[in-house]
Amino acid sequence: MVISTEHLTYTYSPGTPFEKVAVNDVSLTIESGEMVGVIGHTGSGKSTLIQHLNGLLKPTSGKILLDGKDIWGEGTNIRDIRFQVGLVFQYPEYQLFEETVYKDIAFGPKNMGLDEKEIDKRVHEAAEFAGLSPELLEKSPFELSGGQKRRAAIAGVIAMEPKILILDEPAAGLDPRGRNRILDQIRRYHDYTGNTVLLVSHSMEDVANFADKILVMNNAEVFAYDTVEKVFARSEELRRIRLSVPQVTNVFYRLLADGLPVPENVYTVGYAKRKLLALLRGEEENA
Amino acid sequence: MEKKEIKVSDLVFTYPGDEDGAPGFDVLKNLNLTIHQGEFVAVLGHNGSGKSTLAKHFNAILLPTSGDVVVCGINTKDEDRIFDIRQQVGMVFQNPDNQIVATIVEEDVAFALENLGVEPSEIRRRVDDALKAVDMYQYREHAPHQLSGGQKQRVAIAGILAMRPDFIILDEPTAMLDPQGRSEVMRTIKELGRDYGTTVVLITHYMDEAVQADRVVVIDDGTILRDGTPKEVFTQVELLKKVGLDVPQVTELVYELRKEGIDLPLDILTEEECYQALKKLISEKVKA
Repeated sequence: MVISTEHLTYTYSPGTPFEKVAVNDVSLTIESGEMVGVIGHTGSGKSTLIQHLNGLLKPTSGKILLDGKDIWGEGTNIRDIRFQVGLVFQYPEYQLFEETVYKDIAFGPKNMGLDEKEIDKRVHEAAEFAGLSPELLEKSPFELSGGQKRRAAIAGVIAMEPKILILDEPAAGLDPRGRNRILDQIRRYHDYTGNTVLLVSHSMEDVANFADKILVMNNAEVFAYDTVEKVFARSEELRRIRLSVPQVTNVFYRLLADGLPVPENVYTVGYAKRKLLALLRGEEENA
Repeated sequence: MEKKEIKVSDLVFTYPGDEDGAPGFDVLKNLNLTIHQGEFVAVLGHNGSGKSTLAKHFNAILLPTSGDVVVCGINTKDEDRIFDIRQQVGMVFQNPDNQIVATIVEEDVAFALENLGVEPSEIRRRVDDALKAVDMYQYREHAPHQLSGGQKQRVAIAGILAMRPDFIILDEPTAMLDPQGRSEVMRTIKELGRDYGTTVVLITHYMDEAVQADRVVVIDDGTILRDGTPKEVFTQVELLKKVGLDVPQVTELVYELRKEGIDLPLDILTEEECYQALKKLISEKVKA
């Protein structure tokens, strides 16, 4: 499913002294099956943008299209749009409310009007994608650890089988192991289902490790939407808009500036290691 | 005069079981730790390791099941002196929105002082000082909701600072902030120690923050796993990973290269150190 925006603009409190354009004339197309990291500093417009993608906010002007169809156009039901585009908020564990994890995950599918058998299948599948073992399903959500709660909340959205899954900082506040666990599960979900995933993050390292493309928001506009390599190659510009690049990218950038023969576009430890080993050992063999 | 330190001795904290018969469990197990005057200590540990539980003992939000926590000579079990302890040990929490009570920044910073019955002229002076210290003075007449997360968190720190505590405990103060907000708050935290002599305890999941401390304490399973300088702690890459923690990206890169037999120093913690070491190594290769 392709999601796109056409000249999307959103203004908070129009006509008041607090008027603020949060999204300004954004035209963007996200192809089916992409794994996109969304970055931008606080106030850049990224949260406002993603809240448009499943119709939580209605544009001041412009359109949001799902497979070319205007989600606010005639003949579309916005409720159906929300089943197709799933949104996981920040700290979603605060939204758990049912008696058991099972019931909480089943809440979405139940509202879709699915039958018991289908709901059961979806709850189990979603729990598996989220890395929750079956015996946790009968527990109260409040008996789970912080990381498990977070994953239960994500499972509740996955269970609706949205074609597009958007997660707003799913790893915020988790320890490094919890972060990697949750991001791994999301990556696996993406690779297995082939569904589109948008991942909002403040961590350049996480985006580098888990996404294929990066959408950079700045001052209510799209600053860049491209592959991870191409976006991080603009590290100087990213710094100028108050974003950072991964530590290793900075190190390689400085080595490159010294005229040393290192590759560009280094942003993960694994890649940096391979390139450095090749360089250092290659030289040894020639010597 | 008592030494201005927090001394934790044989601290055990047990979460009680519930009426349904669920057993209680020990979160902190015989923990010993002294926080000295003027230190900047980072406390690391995975979720559930007990680090926040420990922090809540520093100003008597929680009391030990057994063992003692003594703050500047006052045992936290001494109910009559609980307010003395809370004036000396201020706490800043994760979510700035939960800590701001007033509708104007300077009124928020003045809140605790008003409750303590400080003279109005003294309040004015301390509020101005505190807001300048966190670089928020120009926002003193703003409403908190007009501020960014990093700015709000700095206002929360100013509110604590205005009480002139000897200790400030920060429990993941940057977890909800963007990179810009994080670096603003970190800069403020480092200035507290340097300019005001405040003892700072920073609980964090961010390794790049912990490397900036004077001392790093790693908590695992309710006890202290490691306690040392950032260089002593972060060079133990395997151990940290085993307990669900991480090391800075550059430290990991150097560690991985060393495993392959590349001759690099072990104790690289910052981008600058990594850059210098690699520059030297590659330059030598290129010349050869």
